[in-house]
Amino acid sequence: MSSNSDIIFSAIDDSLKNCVPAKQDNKTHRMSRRETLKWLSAVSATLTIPLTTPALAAERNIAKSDLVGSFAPWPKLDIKPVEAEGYGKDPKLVRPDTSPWPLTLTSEEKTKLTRLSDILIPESENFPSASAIGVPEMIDEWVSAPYPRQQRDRSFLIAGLEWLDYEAKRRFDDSFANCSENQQMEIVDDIAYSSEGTPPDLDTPTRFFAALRQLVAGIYYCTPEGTNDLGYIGNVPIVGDYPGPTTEALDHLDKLLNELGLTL
Amino acid sequence: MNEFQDFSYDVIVVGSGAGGGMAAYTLTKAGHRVLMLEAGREYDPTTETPMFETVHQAPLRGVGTPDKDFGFYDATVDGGWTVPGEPYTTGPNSEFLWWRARMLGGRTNHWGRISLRFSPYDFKGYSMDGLGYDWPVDYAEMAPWYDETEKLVGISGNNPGLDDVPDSAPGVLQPTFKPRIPELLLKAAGNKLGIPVVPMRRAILSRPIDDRQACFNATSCGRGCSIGAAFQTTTSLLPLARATGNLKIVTDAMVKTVETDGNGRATGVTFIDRTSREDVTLKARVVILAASACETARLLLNSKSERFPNGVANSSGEVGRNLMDSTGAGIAGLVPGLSGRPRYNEDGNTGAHLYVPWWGHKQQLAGKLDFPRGYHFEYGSGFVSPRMQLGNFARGYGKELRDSVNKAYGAYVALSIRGEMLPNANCFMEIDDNTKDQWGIPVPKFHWKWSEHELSQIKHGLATAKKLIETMGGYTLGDPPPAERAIKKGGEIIHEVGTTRMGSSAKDSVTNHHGQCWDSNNLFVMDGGVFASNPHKNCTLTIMTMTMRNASWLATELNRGAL
Repeated sequence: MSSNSDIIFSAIDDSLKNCVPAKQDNKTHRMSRRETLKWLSAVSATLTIPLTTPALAAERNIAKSDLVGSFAPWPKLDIKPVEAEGYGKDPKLVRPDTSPWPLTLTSEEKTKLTRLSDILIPESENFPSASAIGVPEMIDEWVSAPYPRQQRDRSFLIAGLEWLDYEAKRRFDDSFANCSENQQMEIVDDIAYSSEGTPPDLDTPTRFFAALRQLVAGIYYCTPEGTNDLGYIGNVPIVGDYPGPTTEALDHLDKLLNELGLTL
Repeated sequence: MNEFQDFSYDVIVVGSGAGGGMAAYTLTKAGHRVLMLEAGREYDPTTETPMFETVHQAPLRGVGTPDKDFGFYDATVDGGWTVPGEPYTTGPNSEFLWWRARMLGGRTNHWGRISLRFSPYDFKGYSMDGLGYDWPVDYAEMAPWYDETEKLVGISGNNPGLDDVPDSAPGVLQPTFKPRIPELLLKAAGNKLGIPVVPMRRAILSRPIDDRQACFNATSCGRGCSIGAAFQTTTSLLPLARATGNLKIVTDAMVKTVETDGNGRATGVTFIDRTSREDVTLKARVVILAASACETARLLLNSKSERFPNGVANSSGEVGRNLMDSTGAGIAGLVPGLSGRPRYNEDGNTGAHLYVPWWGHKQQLAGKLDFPRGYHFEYGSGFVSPRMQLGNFARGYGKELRDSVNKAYGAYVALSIRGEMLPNANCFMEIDDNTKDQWGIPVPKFHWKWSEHELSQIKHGLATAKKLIETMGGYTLGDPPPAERAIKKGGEIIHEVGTTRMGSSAKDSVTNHHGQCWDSNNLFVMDGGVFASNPHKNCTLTIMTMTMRNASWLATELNRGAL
């Protein structure tokens, strides 16, 4: 566990789990604490994914008259865990098998997921949308996996997709998928950001959206297309010694060192 | 000579990892016949390593699961924090994690390859501060063995001239890897704070040795290395030993007891053939245990007889005691100055090219620090090969999402503390009489409690890490947590050692300075169990070095007809 990425990502996990949030902005900081937290809002939002209560009966066909209050209630679904086998402790690592377990999302769930994935990552000038490169299918693979973390995500995400229908029904008397783009975005905008002003009723839907965003973005940036978007250049054998930073990269560092008053 | 499957041998080696691999290499090169027993399956890195496979091609984008704790591609077969059918237990209020692999080469297939030789301080800690134990050898005696081992293993690194990083002899180390931008920034921050940042020493070839190629600077070492650039016994010591014609390896052989006679002499071992599930008892002139510190101690404690009612080689009662791991804690930071910088290939050897060695010996001797013993920082940074966790940095949606991930990518850094732990009476393993594994072998029960020494050290490390990150113009993600919360669990750093400590007296140690059991002169321990202390430096290089030294001595003893 000492590759660069292992160290970074395990330390980020540790910090998010353990660090004590700072009390106030430190004026000597070059970027405000608030700004830093903004960078991380998605992360902290997904740390406390609640489990739905499996004991309660499904309420998938909720009536509009039951949807009283400012926002739809969080659905209480009886989501059964998947029963597939995992890939085991000695899977084939070279050219691994794809989709080691059956996919389980319904076509309605997949339709909503596809729409949300493309709201999160639409097609841009140079890069494809999330759905164009299979992100919804990979989320299906994720929530269909028989491991504890994925099963927690499964309960939460399926409930969240259901909540979108509740809320669409409450606001527009239709399913989320049938709403117009503007109507869909009206709901999404209410749950895409977490702030002190977020109404308590939207806490869980906002965490749902953050968890989905984390999954969609994580999966997207692992694809060859997402990797290109990041500008990652690597995973290719280098002939001879590692060349180190380019002149351009070193020039950038020189400027930074100057600004910080540091010397090599 | 004894026979097994038409192979005649003098010595049985239990285990094929760092200790077992080096013991077999040294003895077979010296002309002795060795039968090696490995509990796991045959494993061949040249065909089984997922070189260049991306996480995109793996189930769940390669994230860790209970089946593969360190991620899909980690070179651990049939193991990790759990081994099916082979549990372990913990005592009250104890948390301990035990990483095992059931494969040829053991944990050398996936280790971090960080190879820091111990210093004069490290061998004589007790003489410096009155805590723990001195080793029954000193640095001057070990130095030439380190040189030999480093040459054979292939260590890239340099001699920075620091007291924590003793010089290797000229010509021993291979060229270092050029530092990357975030590492140069750390070095500049260290310059300001008076904290050294120097080239890492890793068992990664920058020049070819024998059939092993130099690192081509791509694809993570934790997956193993099909070209042999990252050291593992399965591409180096074991093929070299096999080539002598003096080594036979038997896999799927789970050793359960050491057999002894009424005089205390080891007569051989009994293993369970995992395929047929049958017991096989083999005789040997010499038995070497290199099954890993805790498996070896378990074996000794499970080998009870009239002569050894508390287990073989345990007349001191020290088998299983003095269990140590490294301390560990990590803290991440965001460095805005690294955001949006020019892209280039920052893979390098995929591990750190620079690190922070311990710089506080003199302050400690002057009584200026409130904890004994040192730590180092491992540093993670850079434009790493993307992983699922990048999703952590996304916010909003649409363009904002793309921008937020791009902005964070390459701007995060992390410092990971690895520190020395002192042995204490609360940290030990014993046999759980109520629990057996699927082979019917009683399992270890671990007891664990960090002491104030380790907690004070972690507190200092976290505060120092914060200072370094802030000096780089960055922020830690919140204030460092209390040490009790930040410190990793016992065993979690996978540097467990000390359970069959070597010493200068049969009264309070299990082996002498050759790893030879005091109670049984043809029984040797050649793994991390013999460590008298656990310096902050990752243990593998010293396991191999001590084994090369002790197996060389054993070879001359065998030559002169002793044992």
